[in-house]
Amino acid sequence: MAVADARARCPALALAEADPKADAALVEGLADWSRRFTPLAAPDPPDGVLLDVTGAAHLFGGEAALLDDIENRLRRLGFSARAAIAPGPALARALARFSNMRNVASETGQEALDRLVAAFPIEALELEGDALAGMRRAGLRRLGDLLERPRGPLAARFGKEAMTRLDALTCRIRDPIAPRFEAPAFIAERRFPDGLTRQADLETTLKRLSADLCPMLERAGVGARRLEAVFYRVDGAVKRIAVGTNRPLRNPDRLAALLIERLSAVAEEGLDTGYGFDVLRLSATEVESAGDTQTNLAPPPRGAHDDADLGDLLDRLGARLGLRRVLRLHSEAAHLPEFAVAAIPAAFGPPTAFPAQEAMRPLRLFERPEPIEAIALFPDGPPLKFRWRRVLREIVAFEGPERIAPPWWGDAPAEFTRDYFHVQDKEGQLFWLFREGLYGRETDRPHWFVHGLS
Amino acid sequence: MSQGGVSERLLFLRRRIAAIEARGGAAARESLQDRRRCEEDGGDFLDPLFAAGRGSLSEIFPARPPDAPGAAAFALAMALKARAARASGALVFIVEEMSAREFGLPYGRGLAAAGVDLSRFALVRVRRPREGLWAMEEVLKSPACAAVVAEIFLEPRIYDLAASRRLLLAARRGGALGLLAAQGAEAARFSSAAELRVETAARPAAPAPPALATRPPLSPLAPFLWRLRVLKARAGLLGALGAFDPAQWRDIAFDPDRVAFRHAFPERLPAEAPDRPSAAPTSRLRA
Repeated sequence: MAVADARARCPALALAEADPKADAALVEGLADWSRRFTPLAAPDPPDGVLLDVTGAAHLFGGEAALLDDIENRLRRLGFSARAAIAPGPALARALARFSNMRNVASETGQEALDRLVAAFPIEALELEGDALAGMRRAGLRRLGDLLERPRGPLAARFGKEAMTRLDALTCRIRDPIAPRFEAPAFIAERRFPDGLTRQADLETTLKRLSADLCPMLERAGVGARRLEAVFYRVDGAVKRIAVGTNRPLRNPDRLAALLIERLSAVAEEGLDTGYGFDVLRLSATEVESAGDTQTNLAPPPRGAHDDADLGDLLDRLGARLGLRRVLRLHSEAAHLPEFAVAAIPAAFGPPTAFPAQEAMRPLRLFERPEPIEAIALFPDGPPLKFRWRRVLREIVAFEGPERIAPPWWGDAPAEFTRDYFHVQDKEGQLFWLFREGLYGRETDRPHWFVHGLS
Repeated sequence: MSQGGVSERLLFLRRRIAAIEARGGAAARESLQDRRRCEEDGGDFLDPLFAAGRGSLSEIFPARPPDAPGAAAFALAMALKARAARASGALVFIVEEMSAREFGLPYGRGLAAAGVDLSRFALVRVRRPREGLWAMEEVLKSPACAAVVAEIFLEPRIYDLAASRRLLLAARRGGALGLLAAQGAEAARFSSAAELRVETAARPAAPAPPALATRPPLSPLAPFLWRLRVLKARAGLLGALGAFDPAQWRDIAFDPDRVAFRHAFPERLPAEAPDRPSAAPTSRLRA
């Protein structure tokens, strides 16, 4: 129906532009929100969310109570929603859309399921245009019409897809739910009748959750490398904070300290508690096996804990500042200076030893070389003067050139050869310059850059 | 760097011979005494700061804004010395984003060549000065760290007596050396609880001989040479009260091989020899 027709029939019609992206984002947000009921939640665009509640329903007082809870909460958020539970995801989808029945027990027999499905219209198969129109032309109105006919001719006429969907509806096959986030192996959570708003309460809860989580980790013989705390706000918003550790950790105090550090960093930027958080969940999203350490027999020698202390310190800094801001320098087998050192977040582990090196290198390196104008006596000679940041600098001493070629063994090197010079200007400042391009062989106008300072 | 150190010492000997040759005997003796005095109060005046396990806070200010990388390099040299005095512990370098854009990030290969053990080194990038001071305090409190260098754009509003006192107490607790390489700030604008405040500048190089088309080679020790003056030192830290003239600039060098500070001998050209046609040209070039 065109907009003009609709307006003519109902002058008070409210019109809104369709925004599929925002719709998809909303469904994803709802899927995140529904993770409060089960860790396995998947958005089911355009208008559904699939939850795998196997083994989770009893936590909410049974399946019927769970359905009521979900529908009530969604209604309070402003959605009109229909929920259904069934032995298979396809059947649950169809129940929510085409039936008044809400709950089909998982031990229902195949005949009963077939009888149930037989009453659905063929639209429940959600087939594309041709097959659906074909079924209508053939006089098939209900799924029962399909079920009582032989499969072979139907499959030949309407395609294999139709039969697969029919089998999924009758739970003969079970199509998997692809959850939005993988379910972590270790989860601890706390629920509250009213939302928590004070930061101190959140911190206390994080401490309790860490204390709940650590025995689980200990029983499995692992330690956490990545932790995620998820806060479910009563109005449906979901906040998450993540921390990383540079070695497997299962000490509740340390874990709680890291989380609290991260929480206060987030709170400084503004943690909108709104009406409060009513579910807090802590999960170890990445774990690593960790052996037990012997405790308290003899005092360890001084310095024995240095690595552990440094690790704790870097974890704390990373929790506050962000994991990507606390770095350790790793040596890489590369000739180009900017690739010879990799700065990798400390949470990924300690670096290996650097190889001994003969060549002089500057103490500081720019993240990208800064172009300069340089004057040299010969096109391939050392520089005499250069202008960097609008200041002309006269070179009084230099060391070089050191020629560094780009990786020529790859396909078609995109870069030119560089000639590096250490130079000192009249003021006594030290620069690491390079000329890009061999004069006459690679380019006629080599460019100069300053790459580092000492 | 071992080769570098040896060639530097050779250079010194060669220069001394040139000086003896060039001048008369009395002048040579005088200059020798002069040097000996220099060596005596050379680099070891900072040594009390590095007494093992003694936490303290020092500020290093650049004399001019372009001297900031040099000030950070001096802080790094002090950190290396502190690490050597403690014989263990890690080194943490805190860089503010602004400073990283202005002067680049610390480079692993260069640090390794200067003697930094990169398996016990961490680089922390902070967005704001306040974050940097917080990170510095955390590092100082930790027993794992021997020294921390923080390169931060300071403001009197953020870094005041209370903030510096916090840092000093944290350093005392952890027994680490805190080095604040201030950027974009004048030393006179700050009052702080730091035990030592020095100002560093790059050493102006000897001017290049205009006749030469090329330039003399660079001394391998060049990154570790500074002009330095002690603006403030806590009474009794580096000697008696008034032992240091805050206006006196001294030349100081860091030897990464021995992990020690020493006096940087004045790099003077030897005088022209009056009785001989010309001195060896190489020695002039090397000077």
